[in-house]
Amino acid sequence: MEIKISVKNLDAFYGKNKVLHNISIDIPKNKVLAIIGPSGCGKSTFIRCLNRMHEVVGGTIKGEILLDGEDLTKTDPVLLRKRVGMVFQKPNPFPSMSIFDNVATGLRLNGVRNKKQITPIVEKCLKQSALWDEVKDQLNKSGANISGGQQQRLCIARTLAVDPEVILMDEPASALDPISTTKIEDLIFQLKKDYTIVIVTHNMQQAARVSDYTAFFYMGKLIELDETNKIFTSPSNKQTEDYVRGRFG
Amino acid sequence: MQEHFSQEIENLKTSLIKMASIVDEQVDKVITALESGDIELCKGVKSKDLEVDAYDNLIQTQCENILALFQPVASDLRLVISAIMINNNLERCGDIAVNISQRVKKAGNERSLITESQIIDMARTAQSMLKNAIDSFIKNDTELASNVVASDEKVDKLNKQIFSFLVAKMQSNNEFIEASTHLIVMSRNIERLADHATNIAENLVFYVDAQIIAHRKKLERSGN
Amino acid sequence: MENGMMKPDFFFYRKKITSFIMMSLTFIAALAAIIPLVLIFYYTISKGITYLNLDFFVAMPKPVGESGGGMANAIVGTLILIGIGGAIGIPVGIMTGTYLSEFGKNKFGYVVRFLTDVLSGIPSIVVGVVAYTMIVVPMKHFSALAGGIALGILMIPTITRTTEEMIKLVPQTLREAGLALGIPKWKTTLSIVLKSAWKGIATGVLLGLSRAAGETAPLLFTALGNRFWSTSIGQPIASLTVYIYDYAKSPFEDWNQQAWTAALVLILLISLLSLLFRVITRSKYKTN
Repeated sequence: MEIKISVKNLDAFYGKNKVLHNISIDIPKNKVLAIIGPSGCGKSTFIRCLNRMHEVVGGTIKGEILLDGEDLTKTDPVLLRKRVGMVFQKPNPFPSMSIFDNVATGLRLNGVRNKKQITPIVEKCLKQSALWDEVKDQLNKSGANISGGQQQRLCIARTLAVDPEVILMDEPASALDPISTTKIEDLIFQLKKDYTIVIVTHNMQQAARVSDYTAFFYMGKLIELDETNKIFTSPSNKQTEDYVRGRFG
Repeated sequence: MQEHFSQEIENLKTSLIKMASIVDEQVDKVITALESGDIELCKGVKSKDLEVDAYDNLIQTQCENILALFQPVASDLRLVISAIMINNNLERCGDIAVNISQRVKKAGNERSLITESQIIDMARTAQSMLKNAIDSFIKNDTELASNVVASDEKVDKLNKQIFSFLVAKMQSNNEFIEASTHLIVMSRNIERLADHATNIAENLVFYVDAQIIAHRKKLERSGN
Repeated sequence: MENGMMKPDFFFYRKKITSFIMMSLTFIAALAAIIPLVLIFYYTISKGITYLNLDFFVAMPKPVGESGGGMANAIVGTLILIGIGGAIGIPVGIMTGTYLSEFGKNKFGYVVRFLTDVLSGIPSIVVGVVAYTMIVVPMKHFSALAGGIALGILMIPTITRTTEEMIKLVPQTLREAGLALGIPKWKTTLSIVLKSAWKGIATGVLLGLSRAAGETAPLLFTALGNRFWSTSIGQPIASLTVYIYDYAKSPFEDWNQQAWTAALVLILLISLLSLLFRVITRSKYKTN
């Protein structure tokens, strides 16, 4: 099994406050890794370390994160984020842009200006995110004027347009209704053919449904990492078992 | 929600234990009847089986509700799965008790044949297997359950011996044919009873240790 | 449960009456607030309408004693003055506001924010005096440039603070979305944050321009006024406000009338500006 990202002895801080303690995880290529754990366990911080968004809010880290063997903590964050895309909890399309421009903006701002080049990529990404059929006749409508579920798929399309290798998802369906959630989950299943996906979720059934591997975080520590079916049938750790059974605390 | 869930799980366990105690009592009655020749003891076994059937349906509904409403995982899920299986096995044990009681009514007076064939020995072994399987479930005792699984071979062996003995009897004298046939069927039923006890014990091990031990020996032997 | 719960009692009626009284008070206050506005419109329109004709917009002022004439030079002058003011105040204001909200979480940002607040509190006449000292005195004559700069300085705090507040309203998630796409911070600020806050910033710019167009005091020391046609930024220039000031205090009935018309034109000008901004910033998309 090929390893896409290898995290080694990662500590993360907010100021002097240590929020992640010595995390080591190998993230396999073209698989979905779900991160579960109670609020404040550091799961969001962890994935934000993977594209260095952690430092945008003033955090610091210690340790190594290797992306294809290259330490990403030492590369330029702007270049890194083109390879490691991110989808956020609340759908956040750019409200001042059309649906088309929302997808195209990453390309444009990264230097692709030729409309002939952009149009097919936008179409491809909207198709990949299963949104094309719903919006193809209203590409000039504002990105903020579609439903929440559509907005989130638009955000995924926007991320895909930059052609990343890894997609991080921070509770991508927690603000959505069940039908939209199902669509996002189907999408994740489709996308793992071409991308490595790390998803943070509060919804354990969702982790069980979409992921190949599940990591359980608690109090900033990695408690258990295993194949998802193992975590949800017979986890090795008592804390993990209590958490997945909903008997935590 | 958590409390509600725990309550449902407790209710399920209670139903299973109540059902098991009825089945245990039935089996005890028919085997004592076989041992003593007191056919009167067999009365009421059949009507009591209706209660077992009612529990069968109740437990199935309880399991269905828990799965639908709480989506249990890990040990909770294994408990529900084993409950479904154990329920099924107990119901079969109830039917078998009824079946044995009918054979006892027909062949219970053939005392010498019964004694010589060692069928009582086999019946008592199977009965204690069932009792231990039920106890292992009540106490979550995997060691006791393993003992149950180990005893199954003994019952199988006795079944074969009894079968050969009774066939020989029939060959020696055709007066024995009717009684022997009843006893062969009974022996076959007792062997099934032990199998169900084994299944119950295996399900208990699955629940507690998250290991599927059923068919393990056979599969190992065949290289799978 | 006893159904007595549903029966209205003394407290129920007291609450209802209090509620009614408070509602009425707020309504009366709202009414009182619009009375001055109505009066202003009433007087300017009723008194100013007399001279509101084409001549007023295209003709030059007549010498004292001759009736008629217009204020073409003052209208153009006011436009030039706020043009110069805008050319200074708008970019400085927007950029300062952007700096304060995006990068200004430090001591320097705090100082700038404080000084901007101080600047907005300084009387406009003081700004005029300063511009006089710094530009008019060295250049040795009054000029449109000096007036424009004074107006520009007056616009800065309004535009800065509105820009900062409007940019702060842009959700953090949009910035993160931009950064997560591998867009550098400066590009994210420019093409995502500023673009999203554009409408609000435009409102701030409009407020700044309107305020500048209505200023008289700082112009008295800087642009001075001019009875002749001039569009040179190096020369004194006419403006509507200074004309209103001069004509309103003059003893000639005819000039007093024209002062009213100038006031009306000024109001119309600002309304037109406001309308223009509405059209420019009108969203491409219907919101909900």
